[in-house]
Amino acid sequence: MLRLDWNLLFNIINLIILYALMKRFLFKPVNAILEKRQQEADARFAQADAQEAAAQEKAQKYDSLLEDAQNEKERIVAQAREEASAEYGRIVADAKDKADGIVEKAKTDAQAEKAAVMQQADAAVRDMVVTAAARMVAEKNGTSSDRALYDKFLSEAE
Amino acid sequence: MENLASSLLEELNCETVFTIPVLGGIEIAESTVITWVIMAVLTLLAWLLTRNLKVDHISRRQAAVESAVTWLNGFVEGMIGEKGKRYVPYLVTVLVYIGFSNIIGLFGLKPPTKDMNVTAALALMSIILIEASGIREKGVKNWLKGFAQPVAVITPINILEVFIRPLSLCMRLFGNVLGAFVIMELIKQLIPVGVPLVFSFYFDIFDGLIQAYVFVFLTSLFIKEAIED
Repeated sequence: MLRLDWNLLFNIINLIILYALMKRFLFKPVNAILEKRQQEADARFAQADAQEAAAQEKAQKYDSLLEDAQNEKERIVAQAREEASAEYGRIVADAKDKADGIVEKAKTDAQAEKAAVMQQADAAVRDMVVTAAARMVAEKNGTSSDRALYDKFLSEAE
Repeated sequence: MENLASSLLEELNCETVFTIPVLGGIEIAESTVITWVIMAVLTLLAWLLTRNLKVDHISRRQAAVESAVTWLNGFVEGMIGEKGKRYVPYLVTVLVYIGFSNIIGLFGLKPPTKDMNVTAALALMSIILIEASGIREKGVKNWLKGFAQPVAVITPINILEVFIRPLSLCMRLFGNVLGAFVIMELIKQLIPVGVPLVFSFYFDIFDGLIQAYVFVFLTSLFIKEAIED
């Protein structure tokens, strides 16, 4: 019970041997396998990360491609719209030009018509003057009656 | 009553199993021999449990031994801290050894920790480890300076502690196991049927494991103190 002797030393030796044995037969293999598993898990995680990064990159690429396509589409539509608008403007301008031409022509025609009518009226007046003159000559009524007659004519002509 | 006393004394006595006939006869105590048995059993168990370990698709045996080792390592590491990682395997070994020794009474053997040679050996190893870890961490000079801290006045107390710590470790373990053993023997002598079972749960299993824990806990605490100042 209460004895301290050589067995103290033996027990210290026992402890050291037991520690060595435990280290060799328990901790070493178990820690080795845990370490190995950790390494494999790390490797797998790294691989997964790499794959995810690659997938992300691909997705980004597709996104940018899609965006490009969208931009291209918008550009084409805008261009078409612009072209159509230009065409429309051109057509409208054309039509306006044509309409202006027509109006102009109508104006000129009307002017010509008017001139013609005036000419005709002129001729008619001239005829009437001639007729009046002839009538005056025929009546021989002096200057006063001439003037009266002329005024009358003029008022008629107007 | 006479009978009880003599049989109790016999149980308490650490017998000499055999004597090596050199230097006037070296007596090998029972505790040493039982420690050999425990060593053999633990080694055999470790060897059997850690055969062909695999990384994937592990067997139940491997899962059990892995979680046990991880738990024990984590348990001791939690007490000693990250810096004392190198001492964890030794402390786990001691924990398992003391735990196993203390509950070996269940198998009808005398707990080796009932012999003061064993607890003294454990305590000596502990104090050597504690001081060695301090020297390793801080160097001899700073380790020596550490005795005069926090104030120079308590230097004698700090020096005394080098002897008090292993003594208290040794005596606590020895006393607890001896006390539990004595009580158990008494109960067994008085009422050999049924009752010892109930008390055995406390004195052999609970107290035994608690003492193993306390021993390792205190050693880790002292090592932590030595390396983290």
